[in-house]
Amino acid sequence: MVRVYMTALEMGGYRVMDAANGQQALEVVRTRNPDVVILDLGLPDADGLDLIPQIRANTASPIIVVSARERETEKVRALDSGANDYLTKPFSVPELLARVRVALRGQAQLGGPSRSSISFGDCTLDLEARLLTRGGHPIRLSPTEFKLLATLARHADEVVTTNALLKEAWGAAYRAKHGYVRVYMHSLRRKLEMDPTRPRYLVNEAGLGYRLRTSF
Amino acid sequence: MNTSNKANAWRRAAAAFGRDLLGLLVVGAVTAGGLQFGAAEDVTNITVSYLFVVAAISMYLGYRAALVAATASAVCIDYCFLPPRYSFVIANGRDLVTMAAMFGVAIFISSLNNRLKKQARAARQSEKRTETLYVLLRELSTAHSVGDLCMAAAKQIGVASGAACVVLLRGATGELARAFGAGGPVSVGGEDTEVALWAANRLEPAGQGTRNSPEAGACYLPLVAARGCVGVIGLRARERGASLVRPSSLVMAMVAQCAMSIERTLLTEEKQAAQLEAETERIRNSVLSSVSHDLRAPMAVIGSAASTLMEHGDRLDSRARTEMAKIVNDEARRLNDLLKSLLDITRLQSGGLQVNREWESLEEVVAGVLRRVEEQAGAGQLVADVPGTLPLVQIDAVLIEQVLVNLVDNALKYARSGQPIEIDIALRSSVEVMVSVVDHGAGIAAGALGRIFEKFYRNGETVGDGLGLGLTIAKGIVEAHSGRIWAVQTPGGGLTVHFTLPLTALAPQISETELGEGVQP
Repeated sequence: MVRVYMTALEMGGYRVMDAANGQQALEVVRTRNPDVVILDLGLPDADGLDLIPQIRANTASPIIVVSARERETEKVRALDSGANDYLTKPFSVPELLARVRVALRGQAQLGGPSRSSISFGDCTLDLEARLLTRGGHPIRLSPTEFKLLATLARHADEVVTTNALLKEAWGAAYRAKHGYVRVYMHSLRRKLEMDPTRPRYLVNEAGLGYRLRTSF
Repeated sequence: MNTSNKANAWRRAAAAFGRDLLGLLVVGAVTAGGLQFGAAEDVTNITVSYLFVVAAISMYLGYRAALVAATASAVCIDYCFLPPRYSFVIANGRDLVTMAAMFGVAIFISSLNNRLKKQARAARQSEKRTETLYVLLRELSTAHSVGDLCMAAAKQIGVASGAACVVLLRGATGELARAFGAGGPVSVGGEDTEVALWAANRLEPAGQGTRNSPEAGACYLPLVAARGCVGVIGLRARERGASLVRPSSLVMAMVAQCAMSIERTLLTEEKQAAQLEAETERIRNSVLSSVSHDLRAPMAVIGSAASTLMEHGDRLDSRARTEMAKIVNDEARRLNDLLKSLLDITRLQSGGLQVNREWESLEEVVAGVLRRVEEQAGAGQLVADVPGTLPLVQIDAVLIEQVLVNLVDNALKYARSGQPIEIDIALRSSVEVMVSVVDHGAGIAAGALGRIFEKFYRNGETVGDGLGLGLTIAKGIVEAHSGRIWAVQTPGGGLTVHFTLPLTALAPQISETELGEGVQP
């Protein structure tokens, strides 16, 4: 399986290094400093989840975790402990390449000046001026709504766990009050989406969190 | 079985003596009466009176008293009425004959009465015995399990024997593993297990009242049936310190009947278990063969497509190559779905399904379903009607999304093109929300509406793929959420599946003012 993905990534123009287990992975991260780390949570020797903080300690590069279907709790823990995004096995090559692209774009922004405005659909969010416009007209957002949207925008096209959103908007004390996030997202969808019941941009990923899609 | 007791014997002797005395008193009364009214003139009259009295005594005071009375009567007649009076000499030969005749008749009537009474008593006893056996049989026949059977037996035998009765059943290893009293199961054990086991192995009564180990604390009667001993009946005297005598023939008959009934019930249970095992085996084999066929089909296609690419890849044009690759991709996906279904159903059945409940928005769940269906089947196949004011529900979003996907997949298989499938959500009451998946396809016959949720059920026409587990899994998930799921016919044709989810605790509410708090800073 690794061979298939390595081939696909190489075809996509990337240079690929692989590691067979957790030990080797840390070695590669320390010595070769990759731009993106793709980590399978089902590694033989180490619990993939334990590896994430260790990788994080050695690099700021984005980590994409690969996990089996219906292991949402595992994915949430991975994302909360430092991973940036996930892929569900079996995934297609286009999905893999898309995720890598998004991860690298986010990475590029960390180096330079942060994106001051994000556009999706007919909306534009100006993070510096804290202004949201739709079709040129300003949209009123409550402070909480803005915080949530801004968090999603800063991680545009990456998944943000519900816990992370709660922490951003209400602080660490509100962990596990997922209901609050739902209500606010509902309100945001009504303000920003053409069809709130079929959202294109503010997308919920069941059991995980939300993703603001700017590219398709 | 009555307890033997010296006091009782004395009492009986005293009672008999009392009856004799009473008889004598009556005879004395007749004598006095005869003397008073000058019966000496006509001895025949008085003789008849004595006869009558003896007959009455034999009816009411018993044979012994009657004999005593008859003898007394003869003596009185001789002494008081036969000439010469007031002496034991009988002058007239005819009188002697009369007296002898009276005595003879008295004895005869008494013994007849006695026999009559004995027969009546025997008949009553026989009737009582039959009734006891009948009651036992009736109780045994209405018992549904071996346990009930033993409890009924213990009760009836306890009543018939006047002792406390326990039924001990033999287990597979020959040990007396289970025990039942009249009220319910009791624990096996105590000081007499050896004696009981001995009785079971030797098929002979042991314990009190028998010739084997009579010093034991109770009496043990083996339950002997056609294929050997199925257990032991234990009888213990109700009064402390009392000791049982040999069990009556009625009790032995009841024990024999119980043995047969117990064996029959055990055999029935064994037969049922064997039938169940055979049926399970049959189903398992048929499922295995069906499933392996369903799994092998996509594998075969993948194999052929891949080998085609390998061997003829360079000769195929790019369109054909892409097509082969697409086939491999599609079949792999199908295989993955099949395997996932199998895994899900196994988890459901073994109780390993983890339901992670959080406050979720059904609107979001439906949006997820719409996305997934569009990815796989293209746009326009599915429409949803979700009210904007739905409260949040406490569900596992991933699982409920799965339910909807399974229901929609099922509908897609049987839907007619042109009419999209609908998802409707409505509040059924303040404690229940109902989700409905409506298709306008071929529909299902009314009789099969309940069966579609069964494992591996596929509608008559083998349309497309799938193992027939989708609806079963959906049902399992809904029920794990304490909801209900059922199917009805869509008016105008088609199938509608409804499921409910409970609205339990108060959903988190945020006031409108909180939501729209303040302008942007």
